[in-house]
Formats: sequence, C-alpha cells, structure tokens
Amino acid sequence: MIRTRSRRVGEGLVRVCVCVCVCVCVCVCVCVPAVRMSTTSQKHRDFVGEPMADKPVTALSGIGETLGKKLEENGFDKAYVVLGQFLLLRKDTEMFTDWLKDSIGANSRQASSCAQCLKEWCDAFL
Amino acid sequence: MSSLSDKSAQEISDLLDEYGIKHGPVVESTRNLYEKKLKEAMAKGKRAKPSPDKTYYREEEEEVTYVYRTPTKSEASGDRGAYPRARQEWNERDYQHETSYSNYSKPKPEYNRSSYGNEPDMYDTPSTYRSTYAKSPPMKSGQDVPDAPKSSRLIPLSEGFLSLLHSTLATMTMMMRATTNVRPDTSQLIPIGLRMGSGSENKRTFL
Repeated sequence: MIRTRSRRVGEGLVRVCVCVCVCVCVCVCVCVPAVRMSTTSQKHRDFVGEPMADKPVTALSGIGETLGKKLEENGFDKAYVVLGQFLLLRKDTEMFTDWLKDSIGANSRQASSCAQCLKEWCDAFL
Repeated sequence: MSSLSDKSAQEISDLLDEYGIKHGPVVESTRNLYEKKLKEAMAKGKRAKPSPDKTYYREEEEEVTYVYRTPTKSEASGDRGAYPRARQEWNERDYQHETSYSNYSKPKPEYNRSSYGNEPDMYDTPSTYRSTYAKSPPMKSGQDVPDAPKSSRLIPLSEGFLSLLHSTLATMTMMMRATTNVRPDTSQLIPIGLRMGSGSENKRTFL
C-alpha cells in the first residue's frame, strides 16, 4: 500500500536522522577535546608528561637553540632553574612571560608557550 | 626622584603592593622585572593606594546585600564618575563604600580604565558612564550572573556542550517515540491490508 510504503520511508528517514544526531554527538564529544589537545605541541606533551629531572632548557616548550643559549648565558642552564624562576614569580604566567621577553628577547608565542608548559608541569607534579 | 635601582628590596616590594602588582620575592633575578613593572605603573599614572582596596571592595561587595537609599541616586549618579562603582547594583549599597573611598585621592577616571581592562563596561569616566548607563540598565542585572562565570570560561563551554547533548538526546527520544507510535499503526494496518486484499481489489485504490 502507498500508506505503508510512505510510512516505511518515513521510518527510514527518522532512523537516518537519529543516526546523524548520534554521530554529531559523538563527533562533538570526541573532536572538541581533540582540538584542545592539538593546540599543544609534541614538545609540550613530552615535557609535561614526566618529571623534568635534569632536562636542559631546550626541552621546554617554546625554547629552541637560540633562546636556550641566551638562558644559559644568564645562568639558567637547566630546566629546573627556569622552573625556579617561574616559582619565584609565584607561578604567574603573565609575569613569567614578561620576564622571558625582557631577559632573553623571546616573542609572545615562545614566552607564553614556555609559561604554559611550566604551569601544566607544576599542576601535574608540584 | 630617586631611581628604583637605589631602593632596597623591601621598598620595591612595598611599592609593588601600593600599585597592586602581585609579586614574589624581590631577588636578583626578579628585581629587573619588578623595576620595569613599577616604571610602567608609575608612567600610567598614580593609582597608588586604592588599588589594594579594590580587592577588598570586591570581597565586600559579595558579602553586602542591598542597601537601598533612594536619595543617593541623584548623588550617586554624579559621584560615579569619581568612584568606580558600577559593578553590580549601582543604586544600592555603594553609598557606604563610596564614603570610605572619598578619603582617597580623587583623580580616578584614568585609574578606572587602566586598572580594570577586563571590565570596561563597569568602570567609566563621567562622560561615558551615563551613555553606558543609558544603554544597558536592563543588562546590568542580567550581566551579573554571566559576568561571574566569564572569568572561568571552561565551565560554561562544557555546559554548552552538555546542553547540546541534552537537546539532541531529547530530539532523539522524541523521534524514537514517534517511531514507536508509528509501528503499532503499521502492525495494525498490515492484517487489515491482507484482509482487504483477500476481499475486494477495488478498495486498494483508495489506499
């Protein structure tokens, strides 16, 4: 019958819509945290995932060879010494970012990346 | 004017407290930074003592409830240029605090804007205050609740997603109910259709 056919088609459409909604929900639940994760680099994740021990300053997120050398010239030869400075500034990321910019000439991205890295390390291990 | 580098660590610390700059110990590695911060704060203009009171003010503001004084409305509207008070309920309960503030120095309009960049709507100079007052009086009461959680945006984000989930789940359940409602009808129709088919062929054309 036409009515049964139309009803069957309607049921099929409804089922498709339900599946779409479920997929959207799943995607939202999965993708959003994934997006948050992807904003941190591998270097960041490597540093924050374990105690820093005697890692060099270049292990810090945002600190490459150039900035690492400048830090060492200023006496910050290990990551834990930079951590010490971060703690002296009361774990204030903004203050620490300013300090990095002033002392070694880091740009905003590098400084904020390093600050965020240290903050998360402290949240995890301190 | 004595340079900041001549001051002792304790003096630097005291100056930082005066300007409301949160700081740690003033040691060799941090001194340069704090001196820079102080220079910037001094360059922006003298807002020395009231700023620590502002933090107290916020705490007090949470505690104090409505102190409704209608005659102070006309006074408060004139005073609000000087006193940065338009945070939550502007009419009420500010007057007592305003008297305490009156003891401090008066050039505050610049201080208002520079000290609180996060909330430009709240602290205004007299020229702009009334315009914002006129624009958003109904919003002020509504902004109280969303302003508080704005400080921590992670929570409302998750709540937004939860509400999304809830709405989609609600639609899903409605659809499921719709499907369940449909099914018994078809189950009833099929034997009817069989009976109809066994009977006369003419009736099929109506369906």
